[in-house]
Amino acid sequence: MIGSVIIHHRSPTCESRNGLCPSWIWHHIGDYMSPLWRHVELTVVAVVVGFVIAFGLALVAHRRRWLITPITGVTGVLFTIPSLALFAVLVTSPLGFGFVSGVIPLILYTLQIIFRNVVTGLAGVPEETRDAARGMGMTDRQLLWRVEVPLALPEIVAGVRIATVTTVALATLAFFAGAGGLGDKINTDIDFKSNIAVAGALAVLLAIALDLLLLGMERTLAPWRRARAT
Amino acid sequence: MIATFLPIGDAIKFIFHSRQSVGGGAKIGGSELWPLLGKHLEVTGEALGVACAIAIPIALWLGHRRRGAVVASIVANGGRAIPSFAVVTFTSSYALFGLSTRNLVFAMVILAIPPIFTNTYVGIRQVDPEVVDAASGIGMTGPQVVRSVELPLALPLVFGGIRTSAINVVATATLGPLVGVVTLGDPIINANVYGDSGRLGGAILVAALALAFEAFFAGLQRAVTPKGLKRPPTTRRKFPMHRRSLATALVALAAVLVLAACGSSNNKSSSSSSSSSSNNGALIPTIKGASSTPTITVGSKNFTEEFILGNIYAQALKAAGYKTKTQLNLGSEQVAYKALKAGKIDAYPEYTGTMLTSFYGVKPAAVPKDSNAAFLQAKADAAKDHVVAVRPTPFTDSNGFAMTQAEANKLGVKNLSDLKSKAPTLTLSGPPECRQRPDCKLGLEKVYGLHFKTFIPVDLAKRHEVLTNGQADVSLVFTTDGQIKADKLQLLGDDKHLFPPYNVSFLIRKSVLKAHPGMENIIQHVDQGLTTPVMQELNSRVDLDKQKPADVAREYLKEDGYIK
Repeated sequence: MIGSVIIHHRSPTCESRNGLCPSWIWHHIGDYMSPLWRHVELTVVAVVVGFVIAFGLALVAHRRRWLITPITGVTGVLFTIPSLALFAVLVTSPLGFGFVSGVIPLILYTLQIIFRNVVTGLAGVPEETRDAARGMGMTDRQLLWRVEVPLALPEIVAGVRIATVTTVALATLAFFAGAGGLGDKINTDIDFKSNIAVAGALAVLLAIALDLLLLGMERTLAPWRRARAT
Repeated sequence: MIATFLPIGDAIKFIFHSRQSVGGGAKIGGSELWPLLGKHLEVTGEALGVACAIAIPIALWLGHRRRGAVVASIVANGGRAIPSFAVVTFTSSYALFGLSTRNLVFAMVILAIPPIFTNTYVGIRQVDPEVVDAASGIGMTGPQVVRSVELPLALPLVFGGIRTSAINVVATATLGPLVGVVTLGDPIINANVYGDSGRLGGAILVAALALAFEAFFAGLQRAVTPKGLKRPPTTRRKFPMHRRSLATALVALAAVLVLAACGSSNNKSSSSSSSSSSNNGALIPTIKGASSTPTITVGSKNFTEEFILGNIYAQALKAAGYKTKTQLNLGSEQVAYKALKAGKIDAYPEYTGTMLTSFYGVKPAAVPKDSNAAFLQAKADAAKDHVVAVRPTPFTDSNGFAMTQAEANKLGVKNLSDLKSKAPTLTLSGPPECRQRPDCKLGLEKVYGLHFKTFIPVDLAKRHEVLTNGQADVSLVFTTDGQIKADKLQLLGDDKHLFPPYNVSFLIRKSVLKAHPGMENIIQHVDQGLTTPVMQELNSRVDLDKQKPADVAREYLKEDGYIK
């Protein structure tokens, strides 16, 4: 069997000019679903792990207030270091390229936002409320979980929401650590406007969707606030 | 302990002493880092200055008039949701300012405005209305109130905003090398030139720079805070308004879509096709017992031609009955070769010239000019690493120099040596390291005696754009670039054989080949049709038609008759 590759004579098209091409976007949107899903994984893992760590630190610091300054300082320094530098450090380490190297910096970036909001939220509980709870015979543990945390919930959720939206945006750089995500898609053709626009818009959409989800969770977890919700 | 975990010592040495680049030829590190730092500070300063000039007056006015709370909150939250990487690449792809650094600065201004605007606005709004009333009461005019009362009271927050933006902008500037601006991010992004220690050294420098900015602006913020107002510095990245993030994110999305719609160009495609390039293809034979052998993982580096080749080989092996898996985005040759030796992948396509210069320490000038001699030398070196190099492809993807056809015709230039008398009036363009590479500008000087008027360093991705934009007369390209044809460029003949051969050889780990003895034949079988015009066409289908590499690979195998 004799075959041959067809060599086309090309005249400039929207695609060859790297433009924004609705028909190309329409036909290729499906290719973005698996990077989008990886983006979701990166964000969710980073925020969940970050929340567990930051919440734990905040509970400790809530009782030993002198710890707040050093913890804020350390998380603040981590927050200041550009993500590209952290990704570079991790891929040079034995961890190498992969999901773990991509997600660790994202976790570190959530710490400051969540820690600060949890501490502020817990500190904002009125002293009279605490006294009343103690007066009812609550132990410290009961006071924390039944009074302080529920009352601080709006502030805590606000922190998680900011951390989530920020993480979605930062995760577009996780491809530097070989962790994939929508940034990986952008990086495959950084001159093609359709490509960047689709990946960028999906990242913004994802931020909105996760933000909505958290808002919904807050409403469910703290139904008493619904009446006052603006 | 950390030194065994990371090459810290070597990274520090990189910062203070210059050395040869990984591939040889270029000087990196030490004093070579100063221009990078200079560029980093330059774009950061410009972006911050412009962002302040735009954001502060508007925020002052809106805040003073006590209007625009919704706008402020949209800006605050929208700024957080938009990925900097997308903004930087998107604005640069429009090249509003040609190839200058302003494209990057423009993107950075967009990213720097939200924190400055929001903080200034909130700072003004937080001023006690009674204080403002009192100021008006003693006869102050509007501008006087802003200047003498509101602004001084809002200054700590204003500086808090500038501080947040400064940190973001320093971080964003590290992305510069992706869009042709060589900042301190270069050692991180181009690790194949700088090596692991260079990447780590770059990371340390970038982190130190960000912390220095943070300390500087924190000090400034404290200094401008009126005595009566001293209190803990306002915290960063936590904008006082976060209630409306949902609505505002929606607005941000709408803005993205509007931006997209504005730039949308018409989409008329008239690609007539004609056939040429004949190659005898025959169906890939099925290998007996192939399906019971272990899965073969095919890798590739991270650019168009490698993606296509990786897919062609993986699909061909699959057609022969092997179980295959692909891992087609490994990055630079250093990363890919390391992954091969470590057994993370079983095989990947590599260029003979690259093998010799990047892996086996051969100086570019010492690489044999004959493609077969180069291959045999590379094959012998690969064998020492327990890697088998399969007979290379017919096509060669060499470096080359191109001009626009119009200019080449005007000057009557066909080969590089024809440029001899014209070079002193012409501009040359290439990647930054071209200046120091014997297979680039140095070679043109030594081998051809060409001394150009000026040299413009640009990112490799813009190699055709410089010619079509008229910013350079001659530019470095790859001989299989589809854009050569599409952009009506003329590849200049290398009549004095400056460039070493870059044919592609499929590298297979020896143990893998032993377990799959039929593999080598299959690869050589599908390599037959890969001539230079065919490879150019396949690259065009991805780079110009924006098809997926996997689809283009399947088309190749079908059109050439290797699969049905």
